[in-house]
Amino acid sequence: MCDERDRLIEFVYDECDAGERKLVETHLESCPECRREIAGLKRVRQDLLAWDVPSHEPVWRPLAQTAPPAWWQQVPAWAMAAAAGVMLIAGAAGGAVTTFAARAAADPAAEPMPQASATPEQALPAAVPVGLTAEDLSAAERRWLARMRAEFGAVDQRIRLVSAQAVSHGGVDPAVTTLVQQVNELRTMSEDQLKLFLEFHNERESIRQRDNQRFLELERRIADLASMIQVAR
Amino acid sequence: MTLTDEELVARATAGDTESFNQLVVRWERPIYALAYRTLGREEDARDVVQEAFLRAYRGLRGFKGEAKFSSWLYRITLNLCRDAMRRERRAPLVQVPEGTDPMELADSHVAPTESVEDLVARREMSAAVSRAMAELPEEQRTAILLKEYHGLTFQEIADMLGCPLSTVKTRLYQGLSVLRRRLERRQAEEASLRRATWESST
Repeated sequence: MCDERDRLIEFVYDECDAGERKLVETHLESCPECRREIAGLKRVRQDLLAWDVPSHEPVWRPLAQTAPPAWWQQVPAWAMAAAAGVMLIAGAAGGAVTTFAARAAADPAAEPMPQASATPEQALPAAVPVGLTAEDLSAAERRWLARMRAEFGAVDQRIRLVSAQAVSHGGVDPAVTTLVQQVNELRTMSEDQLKLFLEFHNERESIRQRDNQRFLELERRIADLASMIQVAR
Repeated sequence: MTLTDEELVARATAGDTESFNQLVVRWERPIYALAYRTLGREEDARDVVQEAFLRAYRGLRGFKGEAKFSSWLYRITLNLCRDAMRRERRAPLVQVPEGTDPMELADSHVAPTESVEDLVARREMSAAVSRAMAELPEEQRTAILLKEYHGLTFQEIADMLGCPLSTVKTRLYQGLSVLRRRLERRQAEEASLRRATWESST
């Protein structure tokens, strides 16, 4: 049994039936090597419990309830069918909207974001271009983060340098006083940068939220179009 | 009345966004923990959580219920973590926990039952585990994360990772053995350091 690691790991995680458990327990009585192995595995499992996850604010903001019925849901069925017919003709002529609708109906988890345009009465916020994708946002974020990290890194390096110089001078020295002033100036600069970073962070959260809502709205509209087309067929 | 995940999924699929919100409330912490422990950085974990729920919402109609909702969500999360690591071409980071200075800890900790010394020791152990885990091969690390911190069964892990049951057990065994050696070495080094400090002071 000493070579049967599967059995030992099942025993350690208590994922074996009563018969297997009894078998391992009997073996352990006569095998100090396996006893040590089991004790070691249990100890490391205990150590793993120490790994904390930092507390965090909720990341996902609750979704708003779906908007009131769209204009086409409030018109008579015959008008809806006629509208769907128009959509079909547009699709046959190569309209991209129909293609996206059909694909979304076939596979709702499909990756690419459809580039459907907003109807005038439900225009999207101008600050978020319709063609903007989650990947665009992530890339923009990465660029910003890289820039901010570089900025912080540079300031931090200067602070460390000046502090090291101050320490090496020691005692009460006019040069030390000047250096300490410089350190304070750099700290102020660093704080300003931090504020800028926080502003960026808030803006990013806001863009993300709007982007989510916009995407979900697009999804809903596409699903609506797909069902219209199905009804028409 | 508390609804099951599957009931909430059915309602959310039918257009009830509040049901999806409830699923998020229920699963955001575990998903964040998985992403944080996989990637090692809070900022990255937040991004993954955001994207994971967005993908889950978008893909709800494709979720047929063959696996548990949580398993499906874990799989989305792990895929996103893998993408993030590939994108940055890096192994998990080891984020130095904040407040390792005893004075800061004394200010920050609130549990009256835990002394500052215990808190320092726990933080150090947390950092040591994080470092040791970051050095494991990805497949062993993932198996340990899912088993130890999310309580999945061997079979659930095998289904999620698409590998045989015996492979899961082997990964766990090997991963735990490596961790054990590393953590025991660290403890031995600490003991020797303490002994040296004590001898030099006397």
